[in-house]
Amino acid sequence: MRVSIERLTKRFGKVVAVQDLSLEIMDGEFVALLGPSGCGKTTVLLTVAGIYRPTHGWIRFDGKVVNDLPPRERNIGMVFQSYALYPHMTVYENIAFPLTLRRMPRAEIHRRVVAAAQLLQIEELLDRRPGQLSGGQQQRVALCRALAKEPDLLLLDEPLSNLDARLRLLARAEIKRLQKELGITTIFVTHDQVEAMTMADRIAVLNQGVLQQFDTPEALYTRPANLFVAEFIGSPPMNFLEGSLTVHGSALRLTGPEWHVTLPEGLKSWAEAVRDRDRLILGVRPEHVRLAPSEEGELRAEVYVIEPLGRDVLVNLRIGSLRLRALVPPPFPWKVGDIVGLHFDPAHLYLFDPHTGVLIGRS
Amino acid sequence: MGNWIKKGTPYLILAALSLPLLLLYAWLFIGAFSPRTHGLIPEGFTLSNWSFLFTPWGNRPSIWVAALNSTLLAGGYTVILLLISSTAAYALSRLSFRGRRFFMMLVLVLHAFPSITLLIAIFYVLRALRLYDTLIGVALVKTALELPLGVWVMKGFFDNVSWDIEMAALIDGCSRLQAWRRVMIPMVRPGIAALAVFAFVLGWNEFLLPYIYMPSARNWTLSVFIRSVTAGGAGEILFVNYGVIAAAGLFYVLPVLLFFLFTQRYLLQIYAGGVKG
Ligand SMILES: Nc1ncnc2c1ncn2[C@@H]1O[C@H](COP(=O)(O)OP(=O)(O)O)[C@@H](O)[C@H]1O
Ligand SMILES: [Mg+2]
Repeated sequence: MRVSIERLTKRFGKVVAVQDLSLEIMDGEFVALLGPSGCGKTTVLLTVAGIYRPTHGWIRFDGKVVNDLPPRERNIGMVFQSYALYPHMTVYENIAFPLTLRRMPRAEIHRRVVAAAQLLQIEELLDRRPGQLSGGQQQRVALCRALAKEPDLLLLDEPLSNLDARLRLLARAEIKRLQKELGITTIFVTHDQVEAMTMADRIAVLNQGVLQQFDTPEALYTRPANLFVAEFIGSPPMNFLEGSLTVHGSALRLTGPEWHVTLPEGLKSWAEAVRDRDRLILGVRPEHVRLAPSEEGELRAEVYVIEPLGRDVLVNLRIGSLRLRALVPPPFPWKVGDIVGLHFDPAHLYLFDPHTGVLIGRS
Repeated sequence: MGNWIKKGTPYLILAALSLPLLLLYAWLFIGAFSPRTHGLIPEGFTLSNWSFLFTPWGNRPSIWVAALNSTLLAGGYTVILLLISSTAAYALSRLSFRGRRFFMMLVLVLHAFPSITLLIAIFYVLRALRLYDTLIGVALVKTALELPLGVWVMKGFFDNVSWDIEMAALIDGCSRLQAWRRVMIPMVRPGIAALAVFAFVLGWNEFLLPYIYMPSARNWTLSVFIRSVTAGGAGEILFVNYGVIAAAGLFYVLPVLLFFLFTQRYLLQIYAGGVKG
């Protein structure tokens, strides 16, 4: 089912939870709503589900406006962050509940519950009550209940956030596989950019109820629309250097209090176009910072903290009051307090407008 | 040693405070089974005090009729109270409507209102409704007076059910009413059980309302019946037999004691459910 969110605004009294949000979600697509806690993700889901009425705007399913359709007529499967299993019912009854409400024949209910339970490998739990299940099991039951309805749309509200790290990794792959296998249009809410990046076809990044960017994971990573997206996507987050533009012969430099960076060719034309701005922000991801002996680098920085991550080493550096992170392959030959030289990979630099946060250009 | 004192002190205080009550109950038990007592010392053993169970007592109706009336009053009142409390409390907890806050304040104020000041007004209302001197009339009055408490307690229980569960029910295909009946009510069952026990005992113990509003002897509840024994009936020469009164008293409290024994677990939930604004 195709889902269109058109100019959706939702207010709770004076609080604007969602503002003028438009998203077009294709049939069978897996879309993630990504943003920090309190940015309105759950509100969007519940509005799509019909629990909340939009203050302004429209929700369309396959082109038809459903603003006035009660939740029970929308054929939606939803998994809540708390799982929201019915504690007074067994697992079987939980999964069967939506089907009994549809007055489905008993045999058909049984067939569907068992099939869904097999799909999620929870057949041996059917007689238990939710209170007797572990978090991971409850999550599976909740997903099973949502899927047994054979919904047109699956809504998942942070379904992995209550699992431990190992289970989360398993469940991540499992949900992605199920979604592709069943082809159900899915909206997945998360505050974890890794989850969103690894699972979704497209990601809508929200901040304070406002859509920042709606694009593929790759595009968010390589072409972040603004500072918020640039900082939110990618781990560890992008480094930002704020300075003013100065001309040195034919070169353009961004100059800060204790440093200056010569802009590479790829960024020059962008910078030329905004020469009237007094200040600019240069963005560089930690994986695009290279370390060198101190006399070789374009910048000189002090090694501040060294965090070995196994595959890489995350190095915290400082230049005066400026902090930078670099992700470099081991072995790491320096120690804390050493002065090292830095290069930024000239092919992966970004320029942002510090006032609006908007991306000006990238090399 | 110090630890022992620390642990034992609360029990000692509690024991000292309950002593008068325990003595009263002890007297009730001893008195009911002996012809005479000197303080707590019985003078032999007899079952003759219990003859009222089989033969009428003066010109009064059988005590079994009074027992039945008490059961009907307490039971009927409990059922009505539960029905209204569980729906009203749901609305106050979950629905947003005009005047909700005002209504909640009103419930609290009414809960604190001394109902005795309403006795005469209620009498006129009952008369007008032709419910004077009927069980259902008194049950309704008792319900009305206890509703604020019932609504408030049940609201606390509904407040404690997460919204997610109710939203899940709505998305799973329930109407609001179905969600209430099939998901919310089962989730507040401990609250309903607690309120039921509490209300039943309250109804069973009620004296003033049946005494005032159901004067006919055929409508007497146990509490009114026992009062008539201690005060003497019309045209009866007052001859107080304490043994018989003890036996009748025991007959009255025994069901409550047993009831408490089996249901105290639910009763404690009234406080566990919490009361939130
Ligand atoms: N039912 C509600 N009543 C009032 N305010 C709400 C309600 N639901 C959400 N909000 C407010 O809307 C904002 C967005 O909340 P929410 O959608 O839950 O964020 P998220 O799921 O991204 O953490 C928050 O400021 C929250 O306080
Ligand atoms: Mg949320």
